[in-house]
Amino acid sequence: MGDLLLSAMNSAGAALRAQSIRIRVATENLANSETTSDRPGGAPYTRKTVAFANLWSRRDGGSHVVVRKISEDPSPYRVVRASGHPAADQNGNVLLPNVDPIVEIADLKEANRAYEANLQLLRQARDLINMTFDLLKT
Amino acid sequence: MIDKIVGTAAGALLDGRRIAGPAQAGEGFGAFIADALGSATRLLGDAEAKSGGAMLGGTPAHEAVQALMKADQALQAALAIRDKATSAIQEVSRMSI
Repeated sequence: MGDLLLSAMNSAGAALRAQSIRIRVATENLANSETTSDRPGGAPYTRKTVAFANLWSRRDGGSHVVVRKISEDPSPYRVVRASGHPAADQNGNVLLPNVDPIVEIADLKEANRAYEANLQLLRQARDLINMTFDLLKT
Repeated sequence: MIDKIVGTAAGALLDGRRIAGPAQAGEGFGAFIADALGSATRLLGDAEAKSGGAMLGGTPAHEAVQALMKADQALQAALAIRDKATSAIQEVSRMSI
């Protein structure tokens, strides 16, 4: 087991990486919320979801959060009637992505808060370590 | 490590045969400082690589910041311990027999 405060900093760093991936995925979903297929009747952009997992790091003696899998949301696509659209099938229906912008924005806010919380953790651990070594200075 | 230095110096004071003690204490202390500075140098190299990568856009920002923070801490730690150990040795060497 190494230094406990350094181990806390490594855990916070791993969480920063995981939350960054979550922010990226939510941003991709938002950006592609109206992306249809290019073929008639084809599947549009599918909403992506991020699953976290907990890994035990032997070197640090602490657990890190990692992104276990980025998978596709199986919920059904939105169906919109638009006969002139290039992606419309023979019934005139166009499949739109199963992305709800409100949900994505809420997810982005959560990921934002989590990222800032981990930044605060890093700052506190760094300050504590510096204060500990300052005891040696006269 | 510090008890090796103090113990050896105290042994040299109490027992005339152990005048060779301070040389051993010097090796232990020097090896410890060399080891600490070596790991600080390795962390500095890692921090430089990651900050270069962050400026060019490849490395994530938080990784570069973490590497720089670790390198800074390692250097501060090595300097603080070196200063304390050096002043301790000077204090011991000033002890009158």
